Amino acid sequence: MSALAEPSRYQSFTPPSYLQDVLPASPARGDTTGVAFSQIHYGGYHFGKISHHNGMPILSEEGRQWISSRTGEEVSFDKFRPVAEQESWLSISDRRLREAPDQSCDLPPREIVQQALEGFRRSCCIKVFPILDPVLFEDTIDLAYEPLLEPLRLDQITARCCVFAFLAIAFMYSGNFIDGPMLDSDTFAAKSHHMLADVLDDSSVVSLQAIFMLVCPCPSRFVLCSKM
Amino acid sequence: MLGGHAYRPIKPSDAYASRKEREDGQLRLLFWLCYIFDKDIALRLNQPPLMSDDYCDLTLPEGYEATKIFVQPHTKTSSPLDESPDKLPLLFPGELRLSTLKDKIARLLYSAQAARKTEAELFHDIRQLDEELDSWRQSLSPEFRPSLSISDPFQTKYPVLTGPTNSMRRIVMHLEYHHLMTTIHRASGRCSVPRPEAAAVEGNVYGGGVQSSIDLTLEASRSTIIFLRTATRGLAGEAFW
Repeated sequence: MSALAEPSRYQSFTPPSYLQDVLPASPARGDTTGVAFSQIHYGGYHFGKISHHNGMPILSEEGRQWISSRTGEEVSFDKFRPVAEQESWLSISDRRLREAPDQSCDLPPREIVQQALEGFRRSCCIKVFPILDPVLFEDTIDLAYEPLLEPLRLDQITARCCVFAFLAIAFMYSGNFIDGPMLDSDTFAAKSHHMLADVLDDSSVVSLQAIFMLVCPCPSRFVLCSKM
Repeated sequence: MLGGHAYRPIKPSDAYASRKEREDGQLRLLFWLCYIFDKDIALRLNQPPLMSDDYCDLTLPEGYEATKIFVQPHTKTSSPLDESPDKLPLLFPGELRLSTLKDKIARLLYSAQAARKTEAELFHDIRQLDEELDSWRQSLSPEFRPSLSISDPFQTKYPVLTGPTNSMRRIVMHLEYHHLMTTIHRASGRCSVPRPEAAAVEGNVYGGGVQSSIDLTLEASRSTIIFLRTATRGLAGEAFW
């Protein structure tokens, strides 16, 4: 049975008359032409809009007044902001590469990558987040660990970038399979990010995998979807 | 560019596959991963999606619907906690049918074209999308099916012996369902001004269709808050990057 057929216990309301003068009138009944599509409306009143940056609502002054009149409190989203400003991983990337610029392309011992891959293959992540095929990824690892020779090959740079990106997220599913010190995900992410400018020129599955592993939490989906 | 938008079969992980079949299958998996995130981000950020459904083959992976997107115990004696990856179906970080529905919601209710619709057209689409969402909800097994509304924290309790994958998936599906309910019916908010004179006649301040959508939006929002308070204690730490 559709939810529309289910009765609700919600009590209807009537806004106070003074707010009806303050709040902008909604478009006339049946005519929604003048309404922008990212705006938030409630009961015909304009409350604000959806942020294109993070999807959070940004209340208009009218929306704040409406909520304040209902709750008796001043509306403030300040308490939902992070307590401390977190250093973005992009600035971490720049700082770490400035500290050790000559080692930006150095891979860890291959055994570490193999252990991480084994951990991925045995975890449920391979079905929830099927970003790579363990058999095909062996070829990517082989290519990444070939010696870098001049002139540099784009497919080899892409392979290294992909391996770094994989190691950056390996902590999520490979914890029990990797011996030795914990993986420094931020450093691997920084190294992979450093190579992105070149990898973007490579239209391949490996480059797509690398980009996806690096950026999928972020709303920067343009590169992913344009390649697909 | 790579061709993942065209249908390619995805072989089960425990079945033999040639290299070409593996490559084709992996490309199609990457397509679905991109598709899931594209539609989710488009809906949440009110931006147009980058992947157009008209130019993609949206045939679901073979056997996907039969799995009902949750891990099913193979026998009564097998432990649901025994989640060997080879036995798991394709789960993805989202639900593929919900992703196609998200595209419809964004296009029919929140696009530039949708802003030009009359109230009648808008409510027609709201009703159609509501029915599609409920059809999806009904397709799930009863033990995993999201509740229409949650008013009691005890409704969030769940049989323990189902494994961490199912627990996470159940939480996510509940939150997705209520989020989409809110998003669908929130679109009615742009329509009508309150009509105090109608309250005495109809018993509510708005027209029947608008009032119903407002009620459903608020109920879904309350359900989300109640659910977040209790069920998310079971969230795995790896869910957050």
